[in-house]
Amino acid sequence: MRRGDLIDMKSGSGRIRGQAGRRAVLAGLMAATLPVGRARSDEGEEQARRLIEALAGRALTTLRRGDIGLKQRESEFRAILGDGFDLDFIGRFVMGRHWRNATATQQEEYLALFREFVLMAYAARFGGYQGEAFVVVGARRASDKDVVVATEVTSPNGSPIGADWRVRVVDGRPRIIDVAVEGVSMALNQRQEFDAVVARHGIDGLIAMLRARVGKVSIAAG
Amino acid sequence: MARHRSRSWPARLFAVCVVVLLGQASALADALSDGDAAFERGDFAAALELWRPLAEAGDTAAAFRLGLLYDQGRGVETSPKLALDWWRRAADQGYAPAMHNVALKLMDGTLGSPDFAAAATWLGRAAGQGYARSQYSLCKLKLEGLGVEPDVDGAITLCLAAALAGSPGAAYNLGKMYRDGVMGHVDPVAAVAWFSFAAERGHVGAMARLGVRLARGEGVAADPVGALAWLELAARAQNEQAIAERDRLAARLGADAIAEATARADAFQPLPGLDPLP
Repeated sequence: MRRGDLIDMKSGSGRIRGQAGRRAVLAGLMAATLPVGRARSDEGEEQARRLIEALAGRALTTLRRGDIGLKQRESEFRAILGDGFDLDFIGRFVMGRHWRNATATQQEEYLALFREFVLMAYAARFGGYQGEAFVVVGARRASDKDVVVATEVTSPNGSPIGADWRVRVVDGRPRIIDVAVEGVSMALNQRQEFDAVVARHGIDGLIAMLRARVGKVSIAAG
Repeated sequence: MARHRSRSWPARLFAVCVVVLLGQASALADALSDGDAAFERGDFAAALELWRPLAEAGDTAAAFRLGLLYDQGRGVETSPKLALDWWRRAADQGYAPAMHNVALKLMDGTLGSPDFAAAATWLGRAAGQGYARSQYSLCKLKLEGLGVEPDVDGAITLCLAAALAGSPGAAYNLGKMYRDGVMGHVDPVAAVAWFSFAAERGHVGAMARLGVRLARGEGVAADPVGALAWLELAARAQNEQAIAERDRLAARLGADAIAEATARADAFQPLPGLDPLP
């Protein structure tokens, strides 16, 4: 997986997880987002599952539209992702103990860049849709506050990749606060990476790194 | 009667060569733009096929595009190293967008710890060609002393050049420099002018700063409705300061003023410029 990505749709190193995995492939062939393996669940689990299913449904609708170009598709994706993720929460978590040491200006600049970086990385991943299917395989309570919704992403040529979405109710709305791909938390991964950059180059160095991630010249501008 | 002009054989040969070369150049340009169209459709494999032969033959624009595919993992496995290699090929031939991306690749952390010093060298080369994005990026490194000695005067010169070429980020930073007085004196009027320049081009942070100044009448005549319109725009882009300031200001204003500010925000169209990145 590319460092810094929250999810990689093409890293094809996933494993099929028994019955659920085979069902995922089947459901994937039907190109649907069918919730399978529905177990006994509390209200929070249902709410989290509905959030992920709704986001996936909106995403698939966008992906299947043949009448729009890459730029517009990615722009619609950004809106969907912005609704689903609590990017400020994730950004603060990922900066860890350095958040408190940052000035207000640094915090604002960091969060704006972090938000842009995540949206750009996800939109690039999903915008170039290659026929991947996305299936919700279950939801379970992970703590008092959090529910984890397990999903599998299947590409036409690869094995399903497990992606677990951690959902928390923030300001009355369920929002995604982390994604674990094949069991690896992206937020924790990034927190370690960012910590090393701050240790060596300071908070301004971390901000400059993020600016470099989002500021490359694209084809239109090149 | 038609008059026949006879041409010498070297002139004929030259004419033939020009026609052949123009034909080849046009075919190359077609492959490049066909690749661009495939990319826009999301067919990255087709784009790769069209661009790769051109890039291997030394075409800088095609090499630049291959670098993007490897950087973003589109149609290929993501490879920061191959992205850098392709951008280096084009950069070594003086192609400014590739020099810029080489610099940003060296400091984006995907090849190991960011190398700001090497990045600053590449940015300096592209900035020297007048490439505005690199002028802005180097301005920031000089302000922060990353990879180079801190140099406020050099930073101002670079950000000024980039801002005048339409960089909202550079204009926003000039606004902050005048606000904070990093050059030795505070100038609230100049700060507002640059925040306004950047906000008009879609820079969210500048919208928030301009809104606050218009609300307080700081460096500019107070204009609560204009202030609320800018704060509303920044708030829609999730700027936290703007959300708080908007709510505070809206609580003091009447329904007509709020409706007018909202209408202005709805009608906002950014002026043309470079990408208004944070």
